[in-house]
Amino acid sequence: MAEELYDRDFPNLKRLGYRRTSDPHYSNCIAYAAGDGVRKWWPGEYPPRSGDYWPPGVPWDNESLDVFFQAFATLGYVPCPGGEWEPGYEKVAFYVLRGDVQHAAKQQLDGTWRSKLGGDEDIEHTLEGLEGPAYGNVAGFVRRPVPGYAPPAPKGWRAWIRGLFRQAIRRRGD
Amino acid sequence: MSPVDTLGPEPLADRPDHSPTLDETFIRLRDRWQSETRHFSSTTRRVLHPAYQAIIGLGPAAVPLLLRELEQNVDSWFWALHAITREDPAPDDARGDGDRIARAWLEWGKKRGYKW
Repeated sequence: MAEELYDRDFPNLKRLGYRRTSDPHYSNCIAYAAGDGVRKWWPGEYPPRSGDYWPPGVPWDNESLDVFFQAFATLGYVPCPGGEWEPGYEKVAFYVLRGDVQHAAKQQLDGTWRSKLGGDEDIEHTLEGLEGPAYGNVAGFVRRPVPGYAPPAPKGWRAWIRGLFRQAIRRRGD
Repeated sequence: MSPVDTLGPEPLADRPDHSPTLDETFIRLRDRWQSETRHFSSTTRRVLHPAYQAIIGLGPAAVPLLLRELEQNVDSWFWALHAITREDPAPDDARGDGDRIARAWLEWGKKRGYKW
């Protein structure tokens, strides 16, 4: 059912391509981008209460880009100029409509982008694919180093290490 | 047996004297709200939708219907429940955890004698 509504909310999505990567579940895009598989994240301590999680100490009384940057700073993210792929970094892109954040997408280690569509499924998509009447436009990025990331060894080094292993195995066999 | 009996009940819309029941009204509003906000992550934007506000406007009679919804499919019904009842049974450390908050509301409903 959800995919029938893509044309209404994301007029660019089918043209630019997407791939469904999960089933619907209770959570939201901010929690997904934050790597929290249990809680739903959104600012707001309204009367009546929404029941959403928001990091302690981060302003909750508005939905500006700055507030979301502060929330992701609690996870080690810092603002960065763009969404190009930088090996060793993970990035989050924020979509803003009329001054308020509406959505976030998370860059994967291979440079592709994924996000959770509200309470619906997660999809892989281009950043432009979700721009439109539902989420507005991409307006800001944050990034942080990927924990434990080891850059691939240069090609020559890899061959050299492989050679060392082969030699060691041959010696054992002798 | 009349021909009408063999065809089953008349569609609701064909009955001139039919006024929708609370349950029918709730389901219509719920379906509209879920369809029109399902891709929104902003809880603010979702709960300010006119259909959601109309559900709050149904008042205390909607509480069992909201608890039934929570039991079947956790969604952002906590705002409506709090708006109607002025209660908040969820523990603070459950914030954001829909399953735990839903369980707290269902327990609250049972203790208050609601049936759904």
